[in-house]
Amino acid sequence: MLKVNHIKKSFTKNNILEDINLEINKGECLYIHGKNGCGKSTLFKIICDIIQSDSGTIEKDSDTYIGALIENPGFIENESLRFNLEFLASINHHYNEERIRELCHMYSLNYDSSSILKNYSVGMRQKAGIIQAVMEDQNLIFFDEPTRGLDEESIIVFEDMVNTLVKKGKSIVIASHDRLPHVHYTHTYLLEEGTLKSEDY
Amino acid sequence: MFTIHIPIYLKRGHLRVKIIKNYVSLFILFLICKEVFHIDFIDIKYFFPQRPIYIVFSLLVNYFYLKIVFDCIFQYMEIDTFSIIRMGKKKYHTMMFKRIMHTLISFVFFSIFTDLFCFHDICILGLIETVCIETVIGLWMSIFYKRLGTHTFMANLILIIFVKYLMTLASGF
Repeated sequence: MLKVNHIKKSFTKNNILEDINLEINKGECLYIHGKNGCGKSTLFKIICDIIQSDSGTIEKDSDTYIGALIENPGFIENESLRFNLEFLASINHHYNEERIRELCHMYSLNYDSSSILKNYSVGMRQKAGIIQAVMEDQNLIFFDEPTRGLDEESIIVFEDMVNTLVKKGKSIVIASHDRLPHVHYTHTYLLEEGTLKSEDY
Repeated sequence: MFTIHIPIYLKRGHLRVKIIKNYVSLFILFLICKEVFHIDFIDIKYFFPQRPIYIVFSLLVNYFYLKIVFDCIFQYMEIDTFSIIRMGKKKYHTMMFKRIMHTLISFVFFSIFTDLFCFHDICILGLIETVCIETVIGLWMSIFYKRLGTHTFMANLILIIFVKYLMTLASGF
């Protein structure tokens, strides 16, 4: 689905990513971990075209549709959850109200609430971020620290959702400090000193 | 409970209504300037005047000008990361540029219309100057919005006023 070839990235002489190679196939669930500032978010941002790499290439299949939650999600602060999700889904005309309602119900968010995003807690914003990453039937999903601010109940919901999506053939990449014990990972990687080391034995 | 669902395309229409409201407010402001205070439109529209009452109107006019550009792009700026993930960086920037351009075209038509209707004259140089400032400011806003956050609008308004003040001094108006 996606192949990352020899990606390099540095910020003011600080080499974050030295030589990153990664291949993600259909139905795989990858776990990437590493110390703070090791470049997990940077790698995701490069793959999602938010920032450019210094060198290297990313090969993507034509049918790959990426969904992602990276760092602190930025929403339209003075609008409701519904407005934000409809706004995002309408960019590529993938609005599926039934699916969004189902996801909101799963994460105990009120889709019809008139409350604006500015008044949402960190956990609620995180849930909204998770929902937008999967609501359009995206087939390659990146989650960067997805459980940040989530309560235990929501973490279990998240783990179940990931397992269900992988069973349906979606590919998921999770970068987190928490390993999430109930998620069935197909590959595990350690991002250290700018390189990605496989921990599959 | 009975709730009315408004589809997203109508909500985007709501944004257009917001922009039209800004234009209507500007138009009323020009009429008040002309009919009540007998202010020369070039003073308040394109330059920075010296007299206090003129300054108040000039600030209001510049506020609405900036708000027209801001309203057309700020939602995409706020939700830029998620938008870029969906459409790619190149397409995102092209879309932002197009939105600013469309807004400016409607702005030029509105300006020509109000100038002719209210004051029976057009200040071509002033119009070109304002369009250039608004284009630069619009692009500047879309690039730096993430860093400046909620201060973006006010920072830009001050910048516009300062540029117009310098231009007024330089032109000796």
